[in-house]
Amino acid sequence: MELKSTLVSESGQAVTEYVLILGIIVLFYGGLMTVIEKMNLAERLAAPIVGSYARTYKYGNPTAKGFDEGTPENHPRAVIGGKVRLFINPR
Amino acid sequence: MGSQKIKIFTRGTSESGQSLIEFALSILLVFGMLFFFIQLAFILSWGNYVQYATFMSARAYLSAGTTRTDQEARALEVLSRMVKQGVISNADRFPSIAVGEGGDDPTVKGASVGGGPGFNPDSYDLSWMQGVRYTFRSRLFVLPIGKPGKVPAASTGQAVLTSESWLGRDPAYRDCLSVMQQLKGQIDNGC
Repeated sequence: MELKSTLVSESGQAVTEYVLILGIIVLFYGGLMTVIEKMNLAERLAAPIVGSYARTYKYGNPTAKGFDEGTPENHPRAVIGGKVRLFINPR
Repeated sequence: MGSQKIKIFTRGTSESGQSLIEFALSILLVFGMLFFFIQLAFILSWGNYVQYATFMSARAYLSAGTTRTDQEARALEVLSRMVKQGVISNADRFPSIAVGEGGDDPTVKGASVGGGPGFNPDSYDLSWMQGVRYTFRSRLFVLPIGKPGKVPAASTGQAVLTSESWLGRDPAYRDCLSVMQQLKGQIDNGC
């Protein structure tokens, strides 16, 4: 005896699963982005690169400030109220 | 006639597909971290190259020319050839890694040639600040972070780096002539 039923047909199952998983991923991604934004996680992760590394890249000193940041501090060349110096030398 | 199989589905206890969903969710984080470090390596390499490019451009600016405009044009050409597509266009060389940001020059985006932010030709302490600077912006995270249309900043996973090279500028031929003309032949070694 052969049973035929539309209930056990698996036609279209892959597409349905794909759509469902895609929905789950999109929801998860949306939630993840909300958490990242609320916790300022991107800012915290990027802090060393946009902070100390950016200053080291620009001035050669992680604590340095230049004219872009107001008054120069620990700048390798700009010395306010004194003479210009050409090299990074200990003071 | 083949054997007959009867499948019984019990949805409540089935764990089929669990690993697939776990894989799909974890792959976001795993690949996010993996591509973050790959992207970071690209940014640091590009940053190193940009330091060299601004130095070479500042050398071109330093060298004497007919006029100051000529010196600026040469500096921009060097920078354009190194960090942009050069003779083809002024579009960024590797826009997926870094794009020029800000700058004074409208043709080579991100570039500023001439006096720096504190440059003062009349001050001994600040007259050295002449040369080339180039600012670029890079995406730190491959996955887009933050709301679309937001100003690029650290909160949206963007790093903005500036490379400076202050080598100064030799007097141009026209500068020399104008100074020598004022001396009225008293001291004239030629220009």
